[in-house]
Amino acid sequence: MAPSTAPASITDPAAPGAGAAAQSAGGVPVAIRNFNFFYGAKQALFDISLDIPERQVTAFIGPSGCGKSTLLRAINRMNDLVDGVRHSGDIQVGGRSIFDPTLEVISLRKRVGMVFQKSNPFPKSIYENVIYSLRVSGQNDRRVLDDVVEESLKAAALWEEVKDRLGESALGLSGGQQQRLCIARAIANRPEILLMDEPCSALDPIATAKIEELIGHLKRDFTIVIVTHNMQQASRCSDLTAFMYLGKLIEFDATEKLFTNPSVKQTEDYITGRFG
Amino acid sequence: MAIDPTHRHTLGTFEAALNRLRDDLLVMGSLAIRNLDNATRGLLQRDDQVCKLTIADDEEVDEMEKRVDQDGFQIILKFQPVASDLRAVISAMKVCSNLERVGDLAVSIARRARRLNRAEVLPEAAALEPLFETAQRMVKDSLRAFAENDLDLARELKSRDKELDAMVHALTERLTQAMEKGGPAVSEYLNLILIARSIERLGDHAKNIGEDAVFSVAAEDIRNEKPPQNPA
Repeated sequence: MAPSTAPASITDPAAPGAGAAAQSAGGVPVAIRNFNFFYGAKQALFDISLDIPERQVTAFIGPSGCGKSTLLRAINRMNDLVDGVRHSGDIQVGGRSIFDPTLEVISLRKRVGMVFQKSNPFPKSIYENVIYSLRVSGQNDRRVLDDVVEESLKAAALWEEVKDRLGESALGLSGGQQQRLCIARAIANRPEILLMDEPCSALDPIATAKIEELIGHLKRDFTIVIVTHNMQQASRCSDLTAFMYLGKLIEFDATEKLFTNPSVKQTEDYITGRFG
Repeated sequence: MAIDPTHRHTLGTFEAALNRLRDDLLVMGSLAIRNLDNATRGLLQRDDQVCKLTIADDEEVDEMEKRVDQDGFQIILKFQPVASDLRAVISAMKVCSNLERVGDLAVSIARRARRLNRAEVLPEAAALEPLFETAQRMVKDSLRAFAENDLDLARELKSRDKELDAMVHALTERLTQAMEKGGPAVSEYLNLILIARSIERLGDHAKNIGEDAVFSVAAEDIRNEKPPQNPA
């Protein structure tokens, strides 16, 4: 029997933040309740309520400007980096409001990792990229760091390609490899949730296929939320899909249901290409 | 077919491809129905020329099957349809397969009719006429239901098929009894029985097309469901 080429599972039941801890009081890792969001005077999200289930892939789809990336970035408060933003309503991660004044945003962003549309490896070695966050946290034990690097790169399906050149610059990797490195970097923190904002839109079809394959494996260990413009990708990769339009949540359902027989005509019109 | 002609795709080539699939399927349907009508006429009016025409024309139906399948295949390949478009394409390809079988059944009827036309007229042959009328109406209605998204018409084909089955069963019993009496016409009675069996199959294909229409429009899979009972 051929050895498995599937990425290794990174879940260690003993590790903090893994699995069972990722439940909110309502029993889901992310609970969004009557969430409104404003860029200054402009309202971008209108009364969004949504439960993101554990260890499944949830896709946000919709035309440009519908608010899907804004909603995604709200989950780990990346929108805080934009001047003049405000919100009402709540988002709970692991049963706790992310807007709790006693919550440290940095620790939130460790629990809720993010991968961006354009891969953004640091101008450092492959090794240093993966363990960057651990170094910043003060972890310097070489054995621990080595283990994290190997586990994370294996989980990101990149280990075999880079194991003999971990000291080389990450910028020398291909686009697809850089994106997988960014995924490895995100999961090195053992997050509960992984947010992916159009992770494949800058990649060629083969690199895209590798990322999609990886997402299928990662969901064994992580709750994943992905924003995508690619309807076929959403139907291939996700378990649930949320369709948004003009800042509102129009429909949220099992992906198979939404893409074969959506309940709302607006959803049907968008996914069949009759508007958007 | 569940495509709203007033609500067009952004991609014009997608719209054109769906329309082409629909048009080719309707052409195939009309060819299959024409051949069935000719086979019926060839039998009931003992017209050997019409029987030969039916057999020859089946090639057109077969070619249209390939064309419709190719239309559907290209749409799936190029446009990756979803939702109502996906259901419409899948259903059209299934309907096409049923229509090809209708064409084959017309050929089978025409071949048997040619044998019967060389023999003495059997009085029981006329008893096939109401069965033919019922089956032909069902096939036509099934295509109309599919083309016009008529769910009620599509759903009632199940119970109509049951009625046709009962008519075929009754006639088969009568023909079997006549055949069991012996005599020189045993072979002809057997042909009539097999023609009745073909008519029953026509009803099945009409029912199948109705089920595909329901799936296309309403995303319901009603295959193998019992038809609603008629109130007593």
